[in-house]
This record gives sequence, structure tokens and C-alpha cells, in this order.
Amino acid sequence: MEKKTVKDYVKKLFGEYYKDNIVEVLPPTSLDRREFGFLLFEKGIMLRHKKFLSKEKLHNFLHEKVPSNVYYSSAYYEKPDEDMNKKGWLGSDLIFDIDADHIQTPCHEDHRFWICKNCLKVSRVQTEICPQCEGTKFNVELWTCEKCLEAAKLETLKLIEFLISDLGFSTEEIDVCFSGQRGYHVHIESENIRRLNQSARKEIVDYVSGTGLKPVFHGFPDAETRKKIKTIPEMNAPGWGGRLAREIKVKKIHNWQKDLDNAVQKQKASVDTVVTIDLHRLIRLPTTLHGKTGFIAAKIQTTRLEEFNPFTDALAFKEGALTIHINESEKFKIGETEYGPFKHETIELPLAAAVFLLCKNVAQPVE
Amino acid sequence: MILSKSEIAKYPFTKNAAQYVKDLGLDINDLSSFDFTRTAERAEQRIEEAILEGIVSWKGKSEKGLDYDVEITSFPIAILIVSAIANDFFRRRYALAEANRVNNLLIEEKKETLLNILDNSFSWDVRILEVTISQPYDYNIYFVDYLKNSIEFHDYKWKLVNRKIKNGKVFVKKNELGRLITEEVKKHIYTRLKNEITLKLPTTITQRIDRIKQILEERGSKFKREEIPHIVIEAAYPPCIKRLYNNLILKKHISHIGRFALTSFLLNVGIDVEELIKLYASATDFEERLTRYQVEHIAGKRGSGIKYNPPNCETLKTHNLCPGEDLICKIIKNPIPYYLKKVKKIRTTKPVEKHGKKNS
Repeated sequence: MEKKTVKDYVKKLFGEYYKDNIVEVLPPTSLDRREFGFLLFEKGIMLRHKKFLSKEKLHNFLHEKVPSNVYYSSAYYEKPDEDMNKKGWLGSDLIFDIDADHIQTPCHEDHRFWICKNCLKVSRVQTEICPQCEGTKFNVELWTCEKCLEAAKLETLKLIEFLISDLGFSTEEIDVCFSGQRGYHVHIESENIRRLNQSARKEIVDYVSGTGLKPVFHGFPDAETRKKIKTIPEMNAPGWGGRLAREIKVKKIHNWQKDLDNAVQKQKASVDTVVTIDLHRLIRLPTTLHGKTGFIAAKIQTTRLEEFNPFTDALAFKEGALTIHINESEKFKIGETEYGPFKHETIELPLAAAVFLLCKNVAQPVE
Repeated sequence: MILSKSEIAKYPFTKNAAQYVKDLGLDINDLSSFDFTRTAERAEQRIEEAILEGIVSWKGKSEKGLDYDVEITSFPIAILIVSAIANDFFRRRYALAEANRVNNLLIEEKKETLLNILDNSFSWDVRILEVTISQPYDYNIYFVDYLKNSIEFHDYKWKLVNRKIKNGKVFVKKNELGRLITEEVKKHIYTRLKNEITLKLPTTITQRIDRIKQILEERGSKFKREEIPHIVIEAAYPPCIKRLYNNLILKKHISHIGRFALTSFLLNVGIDVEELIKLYASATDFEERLTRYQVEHIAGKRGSGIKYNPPNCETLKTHNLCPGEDLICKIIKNPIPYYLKKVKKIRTTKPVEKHGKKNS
């Protein structure tokens, strides 16, 4: 089947999902102040500067266009549908993106693969010429891996701890959701932080990621004064002082500076620095589908994050099966079942697993 | 709590002070109704001190018979004069000098007075703490209020990550809260100075304005900005740009923000759009249409028409783009001033290497 028709097929499935489950799609707060952006199956460019006055109008748009990805602005604007310089910025939610791409998991390097734009051949190493058709243009794709997602979840949990204990936000103000592919998004909606400028948001990013941290300001001696000063903060001290104290074993020190650096690395939350600082960011609308996986960008209760499993809890296509031809695929798990690895196989799979591979662009439906 | 008259004289930017001036019947729209020779004299003095000394004086304790009314009313008149001159460099200079005066005064005040001043002006969430041996801080302040001004300071001790924070409250000492207030005062005064003056001013004021303009002209020529040289000098690139530039040549991956930093820097030092697109053509994932769009956008030839400057060093550090500082890095905050300083240094030591000609 042609590449174009794979997209048509997935679009049809997305359309059916939105038709049957539209009540699940929740608009953001202050809907008429937000800009919306959409990626369409047909085009490679973003449709931006859209505004919706009601939930129904947003839903109708999803029915009519069936976009592959839905985004909204963390910002509030006077006129969300104008060009950037005429929008009239009123403020922005504080958002964080924790993406497996930014976390050094052991399998981190293995997830990149290249798909020839011409013949769809999958390569696991970067090449300049396709070995199958000699094509020279490739799409770079990323696999969605359970271990990486687990690592991203751990970072998200650490971030939430910073937001609550250190910065004083309440669990009600914090919204967590699955990004739909390789990580988690955290949204904070509070009047207090809406008008923070980029520099202030940068300070918050630096805080949670330990950037620019000097342990001496938290009561830790530096390498020179270490011999004189024997005490360090209590393990239950607030903020970074306590965090570092919990990692440092005073009697077992090899290299003071290195141990402190390691402690920072262990305690910090790895977030995408660009996303939080950007006042005009478009971010995926929670409860919509992700075009690269077919998963739902599911909202998660902060207290339930620990047990959340995207491969069970974010599935949109829970019923039915589909026969597909798989070019090549890693092992993956949907629900309790493990699938693959596959290479040049035609097989019937449960719909969620089949859609996952179609979205990853490594398989085609067989009529 | 309401501030005393001497406090109003010390802190004329507060709401109490504004009310006091109003009650005196000093109407900015009808200056002729008010005998303000002494006030106008003191206003002019405030401004002169700002230009010449960088700090406005306070003679509260030393000078007997200090007229608080003159002290209080001269502040809005000085604001009026500076606003009327409408010179941005001068606005900043004056706001800073008034803020410096406030900073010195705050050091002498009791803990409670700082809170009173805040209640009377900026409404920050600040609480007084009991100081003990293990708890050496005087106040805690809501981190959002803290960040409003701490971001202006470049010492590491002001970074949020280097502060003790609990439940959203940052612990600060009295002199630190004083610095934060001072910075806010500076911004507050600067904003007031940006108001356009449309009313007709009496001659006693316009004469003073002319005198001040003259002083400014005499001083002003000292502060000329260094200019970007007409040829591009690659050897003067800062370490961060050098690394990005080399990565591009070596076809290594560069993050989006890295490309932005590199592009905006190169455009600012005089490489033109076409030359830059050619440079990017060597990158692995080069798409001419997209690259052209992005480069032209940063050059200000598309969209909003704003030509972008490279991000500040602080931001580059956050995004892991700073490979470590050299000696020049320590005295600048942005790659462009680095470039200017380095060019100057190179020119005084050896002949320049050419990269390309700047299009003019």
C-alpha cells in the first residue's frame, strides 16, 4: 500500500475515535484566550493562529479536519487568532516538558531510526543512500520505549516534588499528562505565575535542573574549606540543601567536588529547558491523540502518576484487530502482551498495536 | 501602617507620599498656583546630583531645619523635568540615582519599616522571621515576588537555585530585601519617567530644563557606544559561538536554540543572509526553504520585522551551550559585547583575519 494511503487509513481511524469519544476531549481553561495549532495528515506544516469560542466549535473542527496532532498555547492572548505581534500577550501558564530524548537512559542511543522517504526501508544506522532504492531523503523517527518512558516518569515525579515542597504549589494547581509519545507534560495554572517573564521562568528551570548551583550557598564547604568545616546541612533541610545532604556520605568521600556534582545530577529533574522559557509555546492538548503513536495524551492525577503505564492507560483503540505488513519493528508491549520484533511479516494484531506501528510509519495495512 | 512624615520624605515613591502631595494642593496641571521656588531648586539639585554623582542626597539627620515638604514635593517635580527631557539614557541614570539613595536609607531602617514601605508601595508577600543561630535570615518572601528583581542581579548568590526555599518562600537577609526593594524602586521610577508630558510648563521649570540639557550634553559625549567593525573577524568569536560554528562545519547536530544563537550572532556581526544559508547548506538535514525562512526571520526580514540579538550568556548556560568562560566572558553578559571587546584586543595586538565583507 502507498505511503499516502497509510496516512488516509490512520486518519480514518482517528476520525472514528473522535466521533465516538468526543466527550473525552476536554478544552483548556479560558478557551477563547488560547491559540490553537494543528498538524494535518495531508500536509507537513502547522495550521496555526486558530481560535475557538466554544467547546462545540473545537469538537466540530476535530470532526471535520481530523488532525494528526492538536496543540494549544500555554499563553493567554487578547486576540489569539492574530499574527504573533498583534496577539496581545496576557500571560502564560507555567509548563514543563519531560522528554525521554533529554534523559541518558542506557538504551537512549538505540531508538533513532531512519525511514527512506521513497521506499520506506527502515535503517537502524544513519546512511546517506538507501541500500534498497538508492534514495537520498530520510525521515528520522524515534521509537517509543517502555524503559525510557519509565525514566521520564521518574524525572516527572522529581519535578513534582520540587514544585510542591520547594515552590509551594498545591496538587490542585498541577496538571500532569502523558505527552502521547516519549514523555510527560506538567501544566501549572495559577494567577500568581501567569505574568512571569522569560528570565524568571529560566530561574525556575535552573532551580529544578540544578543549573548554576553552588553548594557553598547551601552550607557545603568547597574543596579548599572542606578540611576546616566538617558539618553539612541536615538531611531534612528544605530545598537543595537537604537534597544534597541526602546524597553525600561524609565519611566515604573520594573527591569532594565530584561527589557534589554527582549529587546534583542525581537529584535534579531533567526538563526540556526551551519549553518552559518560551512564553508563546504551543503544547499538545491533553486528551487528544498523538499522530506518532495513536495513544491518548492522557491526563493523570498527580497522586496516581507512579502507577501510570502509557502502554495500558493511554490506549485509544482498545477493540478490534487489523492485518498489517510490518517492514521492521522493535519489541514493544501493549497492555499485558509483548509483540515483535518483526521483520517483513504480515500479521494480524490487536488494533492498538497495529495503529502504533502504522503511526510509526513502519507498517502498512493489508486489504 | 501609615508612614511618618520623615519616612514619606525618605520614600517619596510610596502611595502615602502621593496622597500627601495631593493633600498639599500641589497640582501638576496648575503649577502657577503653588509657590515652589524652593521645591524647584531642590528638584533641579536632585537631577544634578543624579547626573554628576550617580546618587541623590539625603540630608535628613545632618541638616537642621530640613524642610520635609520641600523634600517630598521636589520628587514629583524632578520626575516631571526628567520626563519632559525624554532621553532614555537620562531616565535610567536618574532612576538609578534615586534608587541608590533609597538603598542607603533602607540599610539604616528597622525590619518592620521595610514591610511598611512595601505595604505602601508594591504589595509583596513578605514575612518577618525570628533570627537564631541556625536560622540567620530576617524575612521570607514569596518566590514569584523574589524573582521580579533577583533576575537583574548577576552574582550567583541571587540565583534561585542557590537560595534556601521552603513552600514557595525564599529566605533573605535584611540587606538583601533592601536590594530587591531598591531594584523595584528603580523600575517604578523609570516607568513613571516614560510618561509623555503634554501640559504647558512655567518658565521657572523650562529654564531649569535648558540648564540640565546643557549639563547632559557636556557629559553625554563620554558615553558613546562601540561599533561593530565592517569586516567579520572570526578570531574574535566567543567560545560558545566558536564551538557551534565548528559543529556546523563538522556536520554535528546542533539544537534549535544553538542554531538560533549562531544565526543571530553571525547576522549581528555582519554576515549576510545568503552567505549564512550557504553555510547551513553543508549541514546534514539542510532544507533550503526552511533554512531561508528561519534565517530571514531572525534577520528581521520576515514576520515581526525585529532583528534578533543572540541570547545572553545566562540563557546559553541554561541550555548547555556555554563551553566554559574565558577572561573576557567574565566581564560581559552577551556574545556581542564579547566580540567587540575581543576585536579591540586583537586590533591592538596583531593584524586581523578576514572572514568576509560586511554588506552595507
